[in-house]
Amino acid sequence: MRPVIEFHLDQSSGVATYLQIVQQVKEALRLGTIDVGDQLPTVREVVADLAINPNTVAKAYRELEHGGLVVARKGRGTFVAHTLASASVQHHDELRAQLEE
Amino acid sequence: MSLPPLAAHGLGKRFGREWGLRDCTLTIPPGAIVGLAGPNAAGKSTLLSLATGLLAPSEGSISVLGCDPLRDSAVLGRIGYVAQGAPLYRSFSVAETIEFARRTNPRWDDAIVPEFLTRIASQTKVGALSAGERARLALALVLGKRPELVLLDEPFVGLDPLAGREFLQLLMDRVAETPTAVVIASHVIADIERVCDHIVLLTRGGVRLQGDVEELLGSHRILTGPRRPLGSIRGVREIVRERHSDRQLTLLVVTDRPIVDRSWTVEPVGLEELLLAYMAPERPLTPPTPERLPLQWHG
Amino acid sequence: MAWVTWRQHRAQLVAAAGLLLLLGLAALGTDIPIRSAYRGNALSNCLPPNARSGCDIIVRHFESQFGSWADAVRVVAVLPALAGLFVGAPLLARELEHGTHRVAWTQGVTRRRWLLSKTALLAAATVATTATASAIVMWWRSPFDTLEGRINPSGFDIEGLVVPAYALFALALGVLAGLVFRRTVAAMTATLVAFAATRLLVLTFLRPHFLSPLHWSILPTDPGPPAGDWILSDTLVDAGGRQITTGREDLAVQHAQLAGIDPHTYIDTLGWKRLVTYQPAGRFWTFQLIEAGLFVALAVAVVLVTLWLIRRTPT
Repeated sequence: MRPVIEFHLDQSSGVATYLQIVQQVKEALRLGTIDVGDQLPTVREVVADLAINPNTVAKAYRELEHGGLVVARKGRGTFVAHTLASASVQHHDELRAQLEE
Repeated sequence: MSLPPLAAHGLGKRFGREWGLRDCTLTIPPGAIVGLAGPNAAGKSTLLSLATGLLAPSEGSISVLGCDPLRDSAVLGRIGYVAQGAPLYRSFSVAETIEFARRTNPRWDDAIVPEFLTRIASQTKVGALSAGERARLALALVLGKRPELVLLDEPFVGLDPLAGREFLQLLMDRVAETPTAVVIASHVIADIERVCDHIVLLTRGGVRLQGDVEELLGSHRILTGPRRPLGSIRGVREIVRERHSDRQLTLLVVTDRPIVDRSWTVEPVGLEELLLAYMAPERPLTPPTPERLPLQWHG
Repeated sequence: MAWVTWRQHRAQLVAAAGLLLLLGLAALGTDIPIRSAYRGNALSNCLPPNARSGCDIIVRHFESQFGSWADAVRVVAVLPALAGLFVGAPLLARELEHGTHRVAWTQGVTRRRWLLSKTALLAAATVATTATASAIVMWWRSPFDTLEGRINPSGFDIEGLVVPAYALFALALGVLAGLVFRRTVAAMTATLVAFAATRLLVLTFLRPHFLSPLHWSILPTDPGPPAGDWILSDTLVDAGGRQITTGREDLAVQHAQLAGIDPHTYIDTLGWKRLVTYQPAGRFWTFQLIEAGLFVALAVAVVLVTLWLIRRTPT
């Protein structure tokens, strides 16, 4: 079964690899490509696809977990826990507040 | 506390009158994927040859997995090494090469081999394989013995980008499954930038730089600003490289805290740029002491 | 390591077996006419020292008929050198030349064990091949051996225990040369030179003295020493024991001819004697043991040097 999301890496962007993964997960959440309960590709799958350091993937997933967006289930994988819907509403409020300054 | 997979102390190797490697002191952390960078003739191949006991040190010492590779050569069964050019027996078939590895390594795992040999017929002679296929076969030989440390000397030379990517994919997949320390020697930084979390920069003079990639990138910055005499800058611990045009000054610096001086534009530096700066033969002096030059920066 | 050794050297081993087969077939094919001639002429009745009249003619006829074949068989003396050149020299030289030592010496087998296993296995194959060749030659040469003996170099060098011993030495030399010179052609050349030089030195200076040679002082008119012994020197000496030069001998013969006397009788009256230094045929196996032992000891020493050197060689 193919993973729900496939990452790509832009080595010349100047953005750290793990951050690119984090951003791509967030984008996918925003666009609705992935939803709560979907399993993110395993570290091994990402590594075998992108040829990057496994620690990088682990770090990206940890960051997403700290942000509450995913949850790691021991032995089973990393799963989406939260959509960005509520977050994006908050972001719009902040933007409006800044514009009104 | 686990042993460093590779450690060298004052290591040097002389060939006749020339030193191929001198004053090399380094330690790589367990489980690290290390990029061994440096220009040609910096001693990268020499270092890896010393690590595998193919060469004996002229001075200093080296240990792999805690063992002296010359004295305890049994440790070589736990290390995988691919020399430059991926030497193999050209008259052997692919299957015979695997058999050779099976017979000369006590811990051999046949299960991992097939994924490395996709699109290669097992009866093909090694001499008839392409560079990419030979690299994959050499990698299979190395990873099939379930090593704790993998040493690769310029594995990408002669590989087209696709073959190089495939090589890295196979290697990283293995590392993801079983944490293994890896040292990849390459003079092309872009090839290893994807995967390395630790860097050792080797030049003719020895180890110029070593450390965790993230820390290095986090502690170096590029400062750009109008050209002026240099004093000390708050937050800058050391200037690595200085460049200037008529009007503009560009510095690559090591920082010890965030730089708030608004007379400089502060930008992060990429790994390749960083290593190139350290490879340059002349490195400028640290900023002159205040008594010697009038201070003139905008606070 | 048995599989690895076989796979890397199978061409050489097959070639060796082929050569052996060729030798065996040639020996079989040529033996039939030889044996029938031997029996037909009852040459066994002509063995020294029972030489009856007419024997020397029969023997000479036999030797001229088959002498060229006996000479051809001496090519077997080349076999040990082949072991050194084509099995020993490439062993290390080929690995170092092609850089495959970087694969061979970074596996789970230590360098020394790798070398020792390969050398031991190839040595066993070499001994088996050359011992068989030696046995074939001994069987084939038995008519000649009975007639002319085998302690002479023409028989000694290709029969018995020395052939495998030479081969072991050549093999060891080849392996060491491969390590020292790192190139196959250079190693082969060095092996050939070193092997030939050693063989020549032993043959010229050592073998004649393995046991003290025997001396025989006979009248010039007496029949010579029996065939089958290894004649080291056969000279004329005067009554005072000084060697007669050819010039002096010619002068005496001329003198005798002028005087109308038989030269041999004349030389007798001068008190000259024929001094023969020789090694008797009966010492064949003793000498074989000594020389084989010497070359095996040399082979072992060379292998030990190689094992010591291989750890120190920068690659």
